[in-house]
Amino acid sequence: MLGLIIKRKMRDEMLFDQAKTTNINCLPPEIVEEILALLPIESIHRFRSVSKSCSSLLVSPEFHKLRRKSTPPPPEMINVVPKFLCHAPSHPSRFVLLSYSPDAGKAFVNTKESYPLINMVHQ
Amino acid sequence: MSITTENNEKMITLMSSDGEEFVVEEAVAAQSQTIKHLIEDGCSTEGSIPLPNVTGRVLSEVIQYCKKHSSSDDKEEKELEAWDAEFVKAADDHVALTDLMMAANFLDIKGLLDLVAQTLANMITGKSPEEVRRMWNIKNDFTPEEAEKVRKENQWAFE
Repeated sequence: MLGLIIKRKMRDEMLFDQAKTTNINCLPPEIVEEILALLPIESIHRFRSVSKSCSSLLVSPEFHKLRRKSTPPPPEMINVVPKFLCHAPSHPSRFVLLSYSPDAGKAFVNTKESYPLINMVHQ
Repeated sequence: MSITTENNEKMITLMSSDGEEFVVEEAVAAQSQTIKHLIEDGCSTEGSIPLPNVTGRVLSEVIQYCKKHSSSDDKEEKELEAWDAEFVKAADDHVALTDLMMAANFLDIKGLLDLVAQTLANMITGKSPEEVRRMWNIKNDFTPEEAEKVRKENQWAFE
């Protein structure tokens, strides 16, 4: 029993025992993913340039799902999310605030915060 | 091998890949889910538990962590956090941390795994792609055209 468990673990992890210098391949892929999922979004976009496999991991929806689970956005991030004023057909006389979250890859229209067109023209 | 100490703590012997033996209390060893399951399956009575993927140097660090975490209760959370910070600071470079990460993964010690993952993440956060490649021996397999394209798409992250 013990021998079997150890042997199975050994086979799984033999790769990293052979590699004396540290190599990304010596870490099981799920562990690499776990480390990368803790990074801020800027680093993730920057590291898409590291290699092809890194790039395909970092754009995969599974990775972003894992990332949302392990790193809820900090409260201060709310201020960093880019916001744009835009004209929405549903509110023809006002500007509405459009927030873009690079993290979620989505834009949100906030109709609660809207500005009369006239004021905007004067400013 | 199971020995019992005067205060009735069952002791477990762990053997590293390079043949070093560590005698630890069962409660300490059981911080590792892998070892805990081996003990539950009655494997610890056959002699020492061999850990073929963990060297003595790394195992002694892991045991240090398990000792601290098995003896502290929840009230000491702040102190434990400070201790953890010092612990990973001592491991210092990414090679030692990667070794520790692999051991924590093999031994299935969730707290240690999370701690080292966060430390490694903090370490690479501000690095350039080239620095990350050098750190972990990753080959840049992009053609110059592909590299240029990916870089352009993510330009904002370089500014």
